Amino acid sequence: MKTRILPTLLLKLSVILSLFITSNALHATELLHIKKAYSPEAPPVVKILAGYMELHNPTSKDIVITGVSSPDFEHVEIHSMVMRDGMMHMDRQDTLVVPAKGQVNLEPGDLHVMFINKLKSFKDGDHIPLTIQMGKQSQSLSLPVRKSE
Amino acid sequence: MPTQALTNRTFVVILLLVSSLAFFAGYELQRSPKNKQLDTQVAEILPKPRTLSNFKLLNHQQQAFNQQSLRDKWSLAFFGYTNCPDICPNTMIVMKQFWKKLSELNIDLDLVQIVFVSVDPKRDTIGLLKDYVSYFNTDFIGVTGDMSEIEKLTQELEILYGYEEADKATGNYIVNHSAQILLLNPAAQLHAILPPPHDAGIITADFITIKSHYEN
Repeated sequence: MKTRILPTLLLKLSVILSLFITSNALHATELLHIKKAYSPEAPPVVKILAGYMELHNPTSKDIVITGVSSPDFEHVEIHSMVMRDGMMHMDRQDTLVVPAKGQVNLEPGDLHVMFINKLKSFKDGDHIPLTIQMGKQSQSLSLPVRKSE
Repeated sequence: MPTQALTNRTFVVILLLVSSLAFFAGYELQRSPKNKQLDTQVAEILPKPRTLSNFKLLNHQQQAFNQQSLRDKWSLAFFGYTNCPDICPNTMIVMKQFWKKLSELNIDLDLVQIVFVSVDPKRDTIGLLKDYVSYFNTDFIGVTGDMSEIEKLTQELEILYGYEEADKATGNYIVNHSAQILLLNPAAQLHAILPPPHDAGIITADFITIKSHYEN
């Protein structure tokens, strides 16, 4: 019996250890701490969705976001929202700076990720994959789709 | 001398009394119901409600939507487009919350309507609008129609919109537009403007203030 348990235990331990190492390794490439990411569920007929999140930069250098992409959309952009000449204007942001030790919030009525032309449908509980490009580095996350009440 | 002093004092007292009376009378006159400024949180009430000229649009049930459709009900109208990712769906969610609050307050929902007018009739077909508004609430009304009629109505309501160039890769184009919610009274007149950002609680409170004042 003992001889059987030991290999199983060792195997389990190695799996846990490798998982720990992998997650730590992944974490090392995560430049931004991303919190409260979500995408509001939209009517099924809508092809364009929004994404919101808090971007925290724990490093002592500014982080410049140079692009965003998702395999489930034709195109993804970051937009600002400004009131100009009595109209709400959405302006594409080619870059977005998250200041050193600072944060940038993407929230309703303000900066947001704009997912253009969905390639599949999304409903409450689904996840939207998103990759944030920061020059040569990139970071991936998934945004839970949430129905607003 | 004492009599003279007394007379002088009496005169001063009378003068004070009269002037303070006049002051309060004037003050009361100014805040008489006719001129009284309504205490709203965000709503900008028009000094004089604006009557609209007739317009011919269609609702999402393919029925005529015109000036008559705004009569005998309070209308909250928002102008946008279904491909709008942020301000339009967020405003529709606020409308949904507002609707729920009204029902909780036992306000007769037959006397209120929520209208979403598309300023992008090229893409927002009637079928699409139907699916869009019903997603938020099956009582909400989607409205669209000929560009010329939309132009006419938005001009009178001072709603602005403009199209950006289509993206070459996706064909998608952004429509910039005003974000205020308009409140129209049961005489189909523009009554008040609710500027963004929108909050269901504030809109409910202001709506009730305006409605009660109008009914009295």
